[in-house]
Amino acid sequence: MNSKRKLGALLSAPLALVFSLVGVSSSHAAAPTLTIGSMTDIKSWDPSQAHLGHMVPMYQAAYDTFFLRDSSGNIQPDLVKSWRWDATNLNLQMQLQSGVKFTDGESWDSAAAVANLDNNRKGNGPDAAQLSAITSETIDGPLALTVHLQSVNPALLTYLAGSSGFVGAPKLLGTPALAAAPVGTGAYIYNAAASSKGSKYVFTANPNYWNKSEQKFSSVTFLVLLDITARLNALVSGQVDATLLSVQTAPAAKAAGLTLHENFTDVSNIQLFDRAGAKIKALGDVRVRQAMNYAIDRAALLKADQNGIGAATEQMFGPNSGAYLASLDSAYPYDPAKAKALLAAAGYPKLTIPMPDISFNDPTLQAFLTQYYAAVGITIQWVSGSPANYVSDQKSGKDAASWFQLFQGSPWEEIQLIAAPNATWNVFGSTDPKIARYITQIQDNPKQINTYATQINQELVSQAWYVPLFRLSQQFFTGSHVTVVPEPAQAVPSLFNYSPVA
Amino acid sequence: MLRFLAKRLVSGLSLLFVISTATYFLIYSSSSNIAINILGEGATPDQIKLKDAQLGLNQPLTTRYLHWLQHALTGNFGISWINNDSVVSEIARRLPVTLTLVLIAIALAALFATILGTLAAVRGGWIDKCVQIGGVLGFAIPGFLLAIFLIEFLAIKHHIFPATGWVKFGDSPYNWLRSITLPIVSLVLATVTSAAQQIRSAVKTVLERDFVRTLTSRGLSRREIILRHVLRSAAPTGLTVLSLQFIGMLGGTVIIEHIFALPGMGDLAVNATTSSDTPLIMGIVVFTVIIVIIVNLVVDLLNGWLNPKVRVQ
Repeated sequence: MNSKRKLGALLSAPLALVFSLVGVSSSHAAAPTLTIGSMTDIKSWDPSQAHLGHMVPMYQAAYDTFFLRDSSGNIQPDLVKSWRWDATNLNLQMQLQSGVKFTDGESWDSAAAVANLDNNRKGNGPDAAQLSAITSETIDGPLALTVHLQSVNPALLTYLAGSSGFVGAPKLLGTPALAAAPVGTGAYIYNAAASSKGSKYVFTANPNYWNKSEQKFSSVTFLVLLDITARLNALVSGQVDATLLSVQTAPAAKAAGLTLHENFTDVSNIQLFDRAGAKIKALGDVRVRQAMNYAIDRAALLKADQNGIGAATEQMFGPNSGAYLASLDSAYPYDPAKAKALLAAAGYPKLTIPMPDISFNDPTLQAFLTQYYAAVGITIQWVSGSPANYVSDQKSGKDAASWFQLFQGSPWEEIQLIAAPNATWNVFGSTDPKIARYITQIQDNPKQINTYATQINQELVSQAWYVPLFRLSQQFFTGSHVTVVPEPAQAVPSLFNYSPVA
Repeated sequence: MLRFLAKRLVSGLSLLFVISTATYFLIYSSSSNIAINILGEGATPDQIKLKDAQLGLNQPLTTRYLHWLQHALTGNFGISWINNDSVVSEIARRLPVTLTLVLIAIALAALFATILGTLAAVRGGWIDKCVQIGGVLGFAIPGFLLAIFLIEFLAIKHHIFPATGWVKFGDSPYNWLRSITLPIVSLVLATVTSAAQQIRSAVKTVLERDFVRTLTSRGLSRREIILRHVLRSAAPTGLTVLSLQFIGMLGGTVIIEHIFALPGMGDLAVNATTSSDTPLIMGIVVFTVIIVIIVNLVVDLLNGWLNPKVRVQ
């Protein structure tokens, strides 16, 4: 035993002795249990308040969804057994599963489905806009209904398989009781006595669950661990079985023998909102926007900012979107000379662009962007603001350009996020005749969505609406007791994709 | 005494009013588009308008403030905009965690700082040197660094304590003790070393005063002089230092709670601030100010009890 070990033993032995006299609890019982470290807390358990991303697995414990999105991203039956679109793609007929009960004794039927659709679209929750195309529902039978849309929405099934599709006990919808404690048809029942709001949510297996193959654990616990170091420590010490880390903390997890499940869901990019040049005239010139793309050495940036983990990209659509074109990732190779030439040709050899400060989030990225743009004659003026208002300030149209991480979803989700005239992040309402035409063609012929979305992707790249930087790698780790399959376009894996290790 | 208490109470309430009013208006000036912060980036203009109306954000600022004040005076601090839970119940759930940490930490710090400070002043030598060096080290080593070291060594490497989490005393006293040990040690160390140095100076000063020589010449034992007279005279300094440490610790727990993922006031305060959750921020501010006022009042009363001169003043 070397001197360091002796010292360690000397210091820890008395403590170990004291605590072992009382007895140490075992972290893993014989029945398979699952403990997940969550980086976010639940604001309300009412299904209408669910939000896509990190909250989803917590809702999935207690609630089923209308549809299920499998680990390949395909839509599968869940509480809806079968479905059919009519010829106009404006009416969705659904046949519901039979024999399903909520844990408060209510039955899953057409009335319950309508009540939940109405609650989710009218509850003023974060994702209510996903269901804004629905105008009404018609009950066709005890287990059959038709959902009517005002406009074609090719992502509706995806939305109903995600945060907009959670189904709660009808009598409790919209009540404080449901906001405080979830009641659904899900695989697990919320154990309020063992839970502690803000820190721990415990669920036990629902003995009457209708879909036993999806119920793989006797209990599921979510520990709210907001701090990434706390999540790493909890995972390495065995307190949690799975959690999301980062490229900075991943090496420690790998060194501890934990398993990485890598996934790509977000793209880091600069959003050039002001494509008409309303606030900054220069941004209205496509050559300036293209120059901003040529000015960045994405591979070097990825190495410096993300330890080389992730993927440099020059397009906003992700590889799983169906609209991705590998060739577009070499549309703007690093070429400062070309960037300078484009700026000079546009009449802006020297240019100042204000952007909201991002040093609170990623000082390395801010420093590199400053440097790259300064090298071609663009001065980025970082404007300080409250981190709390970073998103809302951007949404208010305060900034002509800003950095952000955007979700990469299915084609229609992506179009509604970045390309449509009323898209979430088309803050200045930019329009492009080609993009508008492709959107109309998708609505006329949803089956050809990938074809038209690919053309939209090409148009976004050629018009340089964005400066995509790199796709971020989600560093999700599990311990030795469980395994998981990550899914495309989901920040953290769905609960039903976890399995105990035999 | 009653007059003293009344004066203190009036000044405390004035302080509470000024701080809470200033906070309310400062929050307003540093927050915008709260509805988007709550609803998320995908919120439509109609949703934002509805949320603004639900939260009363479509009313003038002074009307909102007076509405808040009117309810706060009756003990109703409203509903958290983010968590949709009563502010009072949210604080009632979190405050015991923070107070448990801080009260135990301050009690341990008082005990060890008094012992070390007194020994250093009375005996000098190596103990004195250790206390002085410890004071510098305690000041130089941040609590979070110590916390990270303790987690690495005692939680991850030797599995003696949990790396994160909080267990209620009622659920398991043993696991409760395990869950609070490392956070408390992280909080205590800097406080002990710093307070011990202050107490050492206070005891040393008292030891040099005439009455100590008089007591010695009357034949009282050294032990009796120190325990019954010197410590009593040095106590006001110690109490003041510890009360300041207590208040500082309320802020210091923010980082410790974050590292150990403890559901205390720290994370609640940070989250409320970063999400512009006005009702929750106001509740936290009011409760924290009340705690500070109570601690100062208790210290004043204890000082008066220990030192007759303070009572006369």
